[in-house]
Amino acid sequence: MTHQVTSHQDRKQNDLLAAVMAYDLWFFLARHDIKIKYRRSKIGPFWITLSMAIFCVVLGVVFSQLFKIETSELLPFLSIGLVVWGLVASNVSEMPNLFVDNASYIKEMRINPLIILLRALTRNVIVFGHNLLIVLGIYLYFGIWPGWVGLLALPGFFLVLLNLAVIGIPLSIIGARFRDLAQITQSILQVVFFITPIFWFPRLFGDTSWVIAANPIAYFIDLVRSPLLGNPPELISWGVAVLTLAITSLIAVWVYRSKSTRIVFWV
Amino acid sequence: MSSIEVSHVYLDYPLVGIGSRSLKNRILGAATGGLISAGTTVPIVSALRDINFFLEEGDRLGLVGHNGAGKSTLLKVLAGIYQPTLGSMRVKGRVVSTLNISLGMEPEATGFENIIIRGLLLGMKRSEIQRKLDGIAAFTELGEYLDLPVRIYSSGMATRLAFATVTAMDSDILLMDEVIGTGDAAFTDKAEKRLNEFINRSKIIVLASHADTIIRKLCNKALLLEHGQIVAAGSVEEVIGIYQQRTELARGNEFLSSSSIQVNTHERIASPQI
Repeated sequence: MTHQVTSHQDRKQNDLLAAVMAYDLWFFLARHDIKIKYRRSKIGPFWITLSMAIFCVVLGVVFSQLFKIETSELLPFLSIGLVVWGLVASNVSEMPNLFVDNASYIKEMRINPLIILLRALTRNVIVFGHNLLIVLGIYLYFGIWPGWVGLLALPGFFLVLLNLAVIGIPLSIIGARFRDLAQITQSILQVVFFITPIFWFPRLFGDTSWVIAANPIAYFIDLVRSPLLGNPPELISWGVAVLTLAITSLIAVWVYRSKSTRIVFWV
Repeated sequence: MSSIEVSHVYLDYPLVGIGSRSLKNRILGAATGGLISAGTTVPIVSALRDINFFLEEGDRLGLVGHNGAGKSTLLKVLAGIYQPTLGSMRVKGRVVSTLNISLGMEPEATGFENIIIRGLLLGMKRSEIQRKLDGIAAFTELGEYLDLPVRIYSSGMATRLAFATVTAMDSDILLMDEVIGTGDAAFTDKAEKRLNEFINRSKIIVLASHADTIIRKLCNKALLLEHGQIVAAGSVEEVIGIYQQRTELARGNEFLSSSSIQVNTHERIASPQI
């Protein structure tokens, strides 16, 4: 292993590649995080699945009464939406505190910050995998099968994942410098949850509402949820997800290049 | 060939205080024309200034100097934890640093898992770690405890584990902040033997220590740091001689005017910057 540093233009170009290549490390650590959850309680991350499932059922039954919609229509929509939301929200809310929580690594050894990020992302994806059990339950209970369209959920999921990874870079770095970013993100997420079509249908709002149009998470959820319900996602969802990826990538590159070496001084 | 080449390295260390930690205040401050900007300035400490040296295989460099002279900071720069603000640095070879061996342990993970994690963090492949796992486990003498979470270990046990893991690494370049040990009387001889083997395996060593005897024993070159600058470099005896001389001189000065040290530290904090 050789490292060469020439003040400002240093290892950053290779950090991304190096982080991905160190899959041994972040995958082990992410799996370890999950193993710990199982050690603490027998069902491990399924606790999250369980509470999410209860939330889905209660919310689904109540809102189908409230909106006068068939439970069989609302509940699958709501459950899958909530499972995807869970992945997005857990990631976004975790990022601002990421480096502060991992300060002991950052301060004591040379570690690629992106490895820490990939560890958290992978852990959240594994938890998401557990939550997919809810989707399976919905399929069985309501006798739904998405068919071949369901496979479209995979590219959609990867696009969402890329978005989450990239947005995590500026969030985690700025969060290390400004400690209130975690609270700010938390409050924003709370509000966004209500304006995201998860427990209500977009059609209830009419098409001109900018509230839905301006919320990228709504498109992320559509990318995964629609195929899982047997419909191809809206074209605009692909467009928006690619666009946000492009924009956040630019921001991420800029923030990472200018600030990643300062993280160690901030945590 | 392992080598370390450091030329004109400067390191500025921002001291981010509580006052400048709020993004909300920063934004409000901008919106209100800086009315609420109190406490948003971040003082910069210049921790290292114009550091130059070159080390090749066989070099054992001892870093001497007072607390806060920049020894640990320099080690952290060499380890790649801090990036130099200015200047350039070339490090060839696998670097293993034992700056604080007990940190970065996962408390919930078992002893075995921590060995693997530490190995991966140091850049080893899984296969390489598996090969060494038994040796490390045997050395710790922790037996069945290795299957239990590190959280329940006594501090002595945790140190043993960390010590055994880190000294099992094959390093080209070894960076040590004070000589590591286990603090366990019955274990000391065994540990010292292992440490010596570890040190001898490394091609280059940089060791920061307050103990002259250890520097004399382990090093063949020395650097004296003062306020982040190299004051003297050369053979161990020479540098330690200058260090002792200057320490006595400083004591004498202190006797004459006790404020001299404060003046010096003041100089090191540059004008506030954001």
